[in-house]
Amino acid sequence: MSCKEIYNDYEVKLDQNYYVINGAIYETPGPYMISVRKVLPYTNNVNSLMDTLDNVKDAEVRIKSDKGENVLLTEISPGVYKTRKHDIKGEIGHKYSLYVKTNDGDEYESAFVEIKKAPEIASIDAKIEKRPVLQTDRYGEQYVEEKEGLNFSILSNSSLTSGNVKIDTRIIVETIHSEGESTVFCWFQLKDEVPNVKVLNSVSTSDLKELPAMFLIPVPNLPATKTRSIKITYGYIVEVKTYFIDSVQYKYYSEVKEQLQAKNKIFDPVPTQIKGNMRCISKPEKEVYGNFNAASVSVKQSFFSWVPGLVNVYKKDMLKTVVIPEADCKRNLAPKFWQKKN
Amino acid sequence: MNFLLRFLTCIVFFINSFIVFSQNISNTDDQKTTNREVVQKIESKFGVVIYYEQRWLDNNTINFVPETAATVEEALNFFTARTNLNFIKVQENSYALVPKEVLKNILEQRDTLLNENDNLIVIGNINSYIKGKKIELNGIVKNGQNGEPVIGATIYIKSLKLGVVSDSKGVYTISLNPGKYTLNVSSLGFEENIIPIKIISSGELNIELFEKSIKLDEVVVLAQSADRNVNRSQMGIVEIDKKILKQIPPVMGERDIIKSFTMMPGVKSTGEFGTGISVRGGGNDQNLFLLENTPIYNTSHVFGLISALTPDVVENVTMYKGFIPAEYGERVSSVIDIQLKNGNNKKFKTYGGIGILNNRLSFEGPLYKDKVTFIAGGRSSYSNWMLTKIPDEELANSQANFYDLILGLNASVTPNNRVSAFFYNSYDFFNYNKTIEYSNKNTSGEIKWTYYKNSSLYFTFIGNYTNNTVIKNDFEIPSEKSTKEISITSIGIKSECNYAPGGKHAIKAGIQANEYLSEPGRLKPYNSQSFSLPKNVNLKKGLELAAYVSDNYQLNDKISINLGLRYTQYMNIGSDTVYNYNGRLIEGNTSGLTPTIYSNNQVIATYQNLEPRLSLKYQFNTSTSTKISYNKNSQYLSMISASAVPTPDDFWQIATNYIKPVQTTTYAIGLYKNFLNNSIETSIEGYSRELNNLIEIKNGAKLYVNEHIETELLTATGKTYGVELYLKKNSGSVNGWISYTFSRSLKKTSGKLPDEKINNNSYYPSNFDKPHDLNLMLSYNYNRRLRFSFNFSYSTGRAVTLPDKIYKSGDNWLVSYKYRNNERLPDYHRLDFSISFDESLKIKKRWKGSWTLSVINVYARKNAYSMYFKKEVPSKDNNYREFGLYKLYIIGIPFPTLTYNFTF
Repeated sequence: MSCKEIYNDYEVKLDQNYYVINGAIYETPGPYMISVRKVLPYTNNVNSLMDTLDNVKDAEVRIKSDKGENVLLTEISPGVYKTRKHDIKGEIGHKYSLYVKTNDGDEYESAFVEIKKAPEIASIDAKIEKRPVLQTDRYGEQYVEEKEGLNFSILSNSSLTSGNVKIDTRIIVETIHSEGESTVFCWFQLKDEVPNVKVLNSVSTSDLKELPAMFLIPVPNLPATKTRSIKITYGYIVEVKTYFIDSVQYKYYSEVKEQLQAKNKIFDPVPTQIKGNMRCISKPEKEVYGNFNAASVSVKQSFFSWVPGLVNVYKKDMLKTVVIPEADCKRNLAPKFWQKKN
Repeated sequence: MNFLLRFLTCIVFFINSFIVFSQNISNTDDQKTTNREVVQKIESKFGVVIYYEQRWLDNNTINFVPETAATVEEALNFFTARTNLNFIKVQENSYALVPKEVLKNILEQRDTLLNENDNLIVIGNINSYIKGKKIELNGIVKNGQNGEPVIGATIYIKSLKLGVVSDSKGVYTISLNPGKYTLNVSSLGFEENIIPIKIISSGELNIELFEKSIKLDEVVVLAQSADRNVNRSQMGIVEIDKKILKQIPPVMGERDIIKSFTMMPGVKSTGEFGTGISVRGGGNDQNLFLLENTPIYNTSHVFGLISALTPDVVENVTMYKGFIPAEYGERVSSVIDIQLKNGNNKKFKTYGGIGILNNRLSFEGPLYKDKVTFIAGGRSSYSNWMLTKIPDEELANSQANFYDLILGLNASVTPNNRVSAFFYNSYDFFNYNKTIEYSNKNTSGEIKWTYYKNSSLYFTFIGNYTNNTVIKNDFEIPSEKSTKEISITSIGIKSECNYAPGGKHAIKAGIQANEYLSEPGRLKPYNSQSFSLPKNVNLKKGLELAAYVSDNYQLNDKISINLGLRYTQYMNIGSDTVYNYNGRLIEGNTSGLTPTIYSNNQVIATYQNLEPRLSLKYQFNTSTSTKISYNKNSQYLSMISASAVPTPDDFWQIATNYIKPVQTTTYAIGLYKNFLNNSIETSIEGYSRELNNLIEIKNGAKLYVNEHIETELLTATGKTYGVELYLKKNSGSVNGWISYTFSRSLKKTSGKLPDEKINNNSYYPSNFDKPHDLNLMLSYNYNRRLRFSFNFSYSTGRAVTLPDKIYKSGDNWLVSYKYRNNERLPDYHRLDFSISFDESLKIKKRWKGSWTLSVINVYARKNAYSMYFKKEVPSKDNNYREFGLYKLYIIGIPFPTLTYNFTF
């Protein structure tokens, strides 16, 4: 009967080099990163591309501002360019643009983007909910199961009356293990899979709007290893960043979101070319992909602890934003960002 | 006396062309009295008028003036006794002089007509008899078992080599001289009825035909007359009724009226089992489905798995794919005219079927004596057990169910007045993996009054209503659960006059008004917890007015012409808000635009179109003809869809000041040749169509619930052309048909800005471009009840747009589509097979059952329904890929079904 299968009988060759340029400047101090990569001919086996990313070396990359700043970025690894810490910093009310000249001579530039104050976050909350969630069993088979989890949301506390907002959510999952006589503190991160963008209408302090951040299913207890025992999941640090974005940025992120969510699954999609604000100024007809954003950021972190089955969620607002490194473990000594329930 | 007066009047008319009034003659001769002078004197003396032919008087000369005659009769007696003339009284104070031989012949013929007393059916009134004047015989050919009109029955007079065919209401008209004839009335599947008649004057003869038990060597698949493809003046017409349906292997256990058309040349399914059809390269939305006279916007259940109308209530379906007569408008590609049964006026009948997907039950019969009949039918799906058996997690988690109901009434209020009405309701529900839920509801109704002024003139007055509402609940993002409602409503009135004088003309004239109410989308949060923002697009209103006239004229035995003209005026009316974009909308930002607000029913935009229609037939002989046609059509309602196959997100967009009506011009030519006494039909038809103001969507268009939809659309021109070959064997134990179509369907934009250009403004294949299409339908009748059917279809895969680039943006892999319809789905081919054991042929047997075992997709071809790009969680199912281009197929296995149909 009805079924779907991967369609492999399709091969594309591109007639020339196309580039994808991405990056941003924020109100927070740098450095800021810009990436320049080549667009690849479509293949059904995207996984095989992971190792063959065609990063673009030796490009001239600059960030310009309406104040006359023109900062050259340094290539720190193939295709990745970085500002120095004090070269440039985004400021609210000013406009910024990205310029790139690739080594084949083509020049690209973004539109100027103005930094506007990001909506402040009043609080991060969590509600216990049940939702159907796609699961994968140990044989790799997928199935849908209704799971209990935490629905994180934020309350905006901005004087913003209308506009577009992008919300980035990161959750640091903390687990504790015992290894012999030692206690091991581990953590790893969960991020939004798709851009979370919203249009706000008439949001004011007296009319706080609840914005969805992320739904989290409790991470199962990690399996025991030869040296490490099972220990319960301890808690979650939820970090939410909000950005005020203009309508061009909103359009870009919503198109990305729409493609990644792949709506209208069983029907032909609307053909799209997700165009950010980059343009090829030396050859106006040439396509270029990617986006340059300039924004202020509002950050809020809160700690939550919850055991599935219980009706209460423990919450503690973090008074000071902490820097949380990538996934790692520490023996016996809890890292600095580590939160306690009381 | 009355009879005599009429009879004499007829004689006067008979000689009318030769007669002169005597008063006008002034030729006199003093020397001798001519006959003319005698007649003049009689007229003068008695104050009467005498008719005669000059040459009759010239041969007689007398020198006598009947001065002494006391009465006019005495004078005329005296006069005629001396000539070879005789006189007759036409009416008071008027007489006619006629040669004695002529009068004798007329009287003998009259006596013959009056006195013969054999088994002839006498038609007409002797008082209306006029020698030599053509008279009309007309009536209705009906099925003797149930009173239903028999469409396409042939009424043939062998002695004259003259034949006519009954129309869609079973009505026929034939022009004859008074006399004796033998009518051979036949229709396939019916016993031939041979009727000797004696026709004196114009009159009516209703004929009944009775279904026959089919002999093996007489099996014929078409109910229409076998040579109708050659004889009728129009081209590009496909008719399907239950007899053709019987031959085709059923899908999901049910014979499908609409899908059957896709086996005919020039008609293609837009997706396997999809509801949409493309006719000669046109879009899904360019086909008008009429249930009686009411447009139906949703014609299928379960995304096109089966048609949304139970086949037991349908009398026949006619598709106009080439020449579209002037009485039809609203769409530019084709009209599919579904005629319901009137209902059996003799006895109650029940039809039913038990299949794997649904069951169905229909009734028909008389309600009140011979005057009121009814038909009622319905279907309902079983629980969604079939979905749970599908080895696909998402579909196994899905639900689907549907039903449809129809009730029709027919009443002969008086012999001249007939009223009919129907009510139709269908409902579909589909839940996909508990993430998206659709419901589709269709409600339609019609009331029609037909007034028969006389046998050649009747009027119809129609009022109808139809509504289609689709509700989509989206649970995919739990925090943004939403409900979207899309609807289209059409309210119409129509009045038509049908006049068929003399049997050579069939004139139609009518006026029509349709109001369209389209709600392109209302989005609201599903519940109070949802973050989804409400969005609403204003109700769009349009009013289409039309007037038309057409004549189907049989010029002579060889040439017939169907000439029509349709005039339409369309108005987009308020209330609505219209924005002035000053050229274009910038990046979704509508601030600063100046809206113009129109009040209720205020005219926003007006369009008018003149649509000439012409079809001409030249018949070389009884088995060969050629036809040409020319059509202009316009359409004020278009479906906005991102997909070639209809989806529940699609909505109807009426013409506005920004969106212009679609206009087409179609030329077609065909050659039709039958062999072996019409047992083999062949035809070749070629066509070319130009299309203007086609709607095309921009790359990345936001189509749904968009108040500024016009900014997401482009205007395109198009062209379609093709050649269709058709060969059909009508009779014998092995029968069927083969058709091949080569066609192209291309589009082109002409925008100036980069995002207004599709494929750099060069021609590209439309969603419905399938250059090669082959259909083979074969039926083998082993005996009277056992039949084997095979159906094979092949077509080029339809054009699709696939991504050509992939890149990593931030943490995400994204794809980009460059050229529209740059690729094709894999070629489509499928073989279906069925064994049917038909019902008993015993007429007296009350309960009749039939079995059909069918196997769809015999060799398990996984034909692509659609192709889509999707991000997924890596798993064994997707070979641990994160992204993939997927092919969806509907049936990838040989799918057997067993159906039991019954009637009693």
